[in-house]
Amino acid sequence: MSTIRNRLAGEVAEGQDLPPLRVDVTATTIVLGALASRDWRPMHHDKAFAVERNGVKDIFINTPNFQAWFERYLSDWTGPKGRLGRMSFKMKRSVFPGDEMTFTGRVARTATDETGCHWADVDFLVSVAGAVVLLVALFAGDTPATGLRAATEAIDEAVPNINQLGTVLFTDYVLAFEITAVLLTIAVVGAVVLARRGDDEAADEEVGS
Amino acid sequence: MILAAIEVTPGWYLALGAVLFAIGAFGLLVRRNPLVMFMCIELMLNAVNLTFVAFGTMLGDIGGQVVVFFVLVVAAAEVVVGLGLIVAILRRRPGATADDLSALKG
Repeated sequence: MSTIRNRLAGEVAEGQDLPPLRVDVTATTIVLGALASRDWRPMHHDKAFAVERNGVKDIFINTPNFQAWFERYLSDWTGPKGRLGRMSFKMKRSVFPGDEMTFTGRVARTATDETGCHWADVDFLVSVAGAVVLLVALFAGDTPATGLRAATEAIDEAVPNINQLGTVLFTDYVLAFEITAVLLTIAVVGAVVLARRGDDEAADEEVGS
Repeated sequence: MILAAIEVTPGWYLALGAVLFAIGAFGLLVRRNPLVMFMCIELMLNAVNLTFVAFGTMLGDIGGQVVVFFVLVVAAAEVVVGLGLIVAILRRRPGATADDLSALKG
């Protein structure tokens, strides 16, 4: 960006398109991003490992690096005083060296909270040669929001597996989780009823024979 | 070592899951002891679990592992009720096979 200035709330309208950002991804992009986010997992810098152990064609961009690119794209647009409040995204495929990432965005909604802070919900899309890589919803404003929620579905190598499973289990799958609790209760009641030595067992034996 | 040269890809797990499922389905159809049929059902369920995890890894999606939890819970509920039924049946008719259980036939 040649000039970076702060975008004011009055300049933001719903349905407004953000200027697209094109990035040629090289191995350096991926490795630098992985190092900057302290992600030492080998599939983000070791091509032989990525090919043999992950079964992909090359090293690929790690999740925190994507988050950094979104924030850069968004803050390019808002200017230095804009602040990222919350982001959530879903990764559809990996990005490899030689790909050209194209970031596009559109303002979905604008709002002003009780403190007078202006917020804009921005829908993001990252595509590589026409293929949709990421669906992103960003919430930009000038005060930090309470929570930062990363992708819950995609496996993130930076987060321990148990932690991520717990997060997904209690967010996206919480209804199913509750239903299984009810199911287990029903099963226990059923087992007790079946295992009970009833008074009418003698009568049942006539039926069973 | 020749074994060290073999690379285990997710496809191997899918193949293993298919084999386990086939064993379970075959056993379910062939055996007539209710307990053994029960074990075959468990084998099929866990073959499906393995497939879920393998696909989850291939696609980089944690949902595959979450589904396994739910399958395990349903399998546990099924074992509890099913074993209760089998014990109740065998208590009344020792040595009963699945073919003998025709009390509900119209």
